[in-house]
Amino acid sequence: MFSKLMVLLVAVVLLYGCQSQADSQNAEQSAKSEQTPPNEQTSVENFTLADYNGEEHTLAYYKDSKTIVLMFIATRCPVSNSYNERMAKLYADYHDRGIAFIGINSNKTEDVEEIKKHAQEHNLQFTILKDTKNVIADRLDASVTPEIYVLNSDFNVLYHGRIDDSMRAEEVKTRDLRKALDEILAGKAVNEARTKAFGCSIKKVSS
Amino acid sequence: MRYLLLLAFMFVLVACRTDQKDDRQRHVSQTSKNGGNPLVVEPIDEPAFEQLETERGGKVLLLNVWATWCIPCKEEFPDLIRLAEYYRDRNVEIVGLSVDFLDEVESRIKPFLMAQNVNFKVYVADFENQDKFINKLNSKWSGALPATFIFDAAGNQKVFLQGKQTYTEFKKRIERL
Repeated sequence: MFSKLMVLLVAVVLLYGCQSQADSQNAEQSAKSEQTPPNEQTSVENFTLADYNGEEHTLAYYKDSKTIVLMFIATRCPVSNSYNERMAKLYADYHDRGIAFIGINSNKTEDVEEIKKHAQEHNLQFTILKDTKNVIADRLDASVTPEIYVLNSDFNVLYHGRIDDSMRAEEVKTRDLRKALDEILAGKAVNEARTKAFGCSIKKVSS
Repeated sequence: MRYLLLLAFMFVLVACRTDQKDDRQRHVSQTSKNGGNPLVVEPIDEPAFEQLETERGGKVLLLNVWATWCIPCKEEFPDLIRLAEYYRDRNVEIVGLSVDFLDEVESRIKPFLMAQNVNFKVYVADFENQDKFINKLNSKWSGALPATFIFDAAGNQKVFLQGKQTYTEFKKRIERL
């Protein structure tokens, strides 16, 4: 009698477990079926843009650098602005170690005079290019500020994503960009090559 | 001994069922405050958020992810309020999810919502990992705000909109489901 009861009980438990698993799998599959994988850029074509002083810069000029850090930034985005000090510190810490830093402003609402003033006020010493008509942002599929692309000298994307994981410097847990740069400098592959964070939409001419 | 084993099995089974029921009741109590007075902005963690997405109770969900630091999000808000008013008795639920910090509910989130006379439920995100949350919600989403997701009544995500939208655009997307 007892063994029959046990068999029945085990069957019920198994059935219950299987049903829960089936439910979660169905939910996952239906969610995934609505989404297609993102078109991640694996490399960047050469481009030319002018900085806020009107001087033209071509990506190919930076080919001698070990690594190129492209940073889509903004003057009015509170998230981007919360990183001003951190970006200035990144530049100070890494620019003489073979790493080139290039800021790109693709916001249609922010002109070169504003970008220049903003850079001076926040001690952003790296080159900042104006991506008029957001051509480069579109080409790279950049849509948020701040958004970072780290390239090797062949312009292959080694890292794409955030600077770190919190707008508040005191609450940062993972310094993703620094970690990626340190791995590159150490000749290693970037372990976490794609990260994301909440940020401001780039104000594009089409929007 | 055999009876003890049997009792232990039954206890585990009942405990699991009770946990699930409690979770559902907790969710119902959160959503029932939607639009209530005084204004309540509750934190929502990953499991509760998943319930919100999937347990639709026959209602379409329009989820708007926003923040008080996001100007286009604030500009879009009156359209969401108009939308919530239009769909009030039409089996469409509008839910806001603020990704401001948890300690900004009183200082930033509530003052904005009160000034807007918000008429739909708004949560504040309490997620361990924003990167994971962004990808889980939609792998094509960069994290740029505002972002809006529309789920059908079965809890399937049907629409993903990045950037500021209008009342007309939201309504068109809902009607197309």
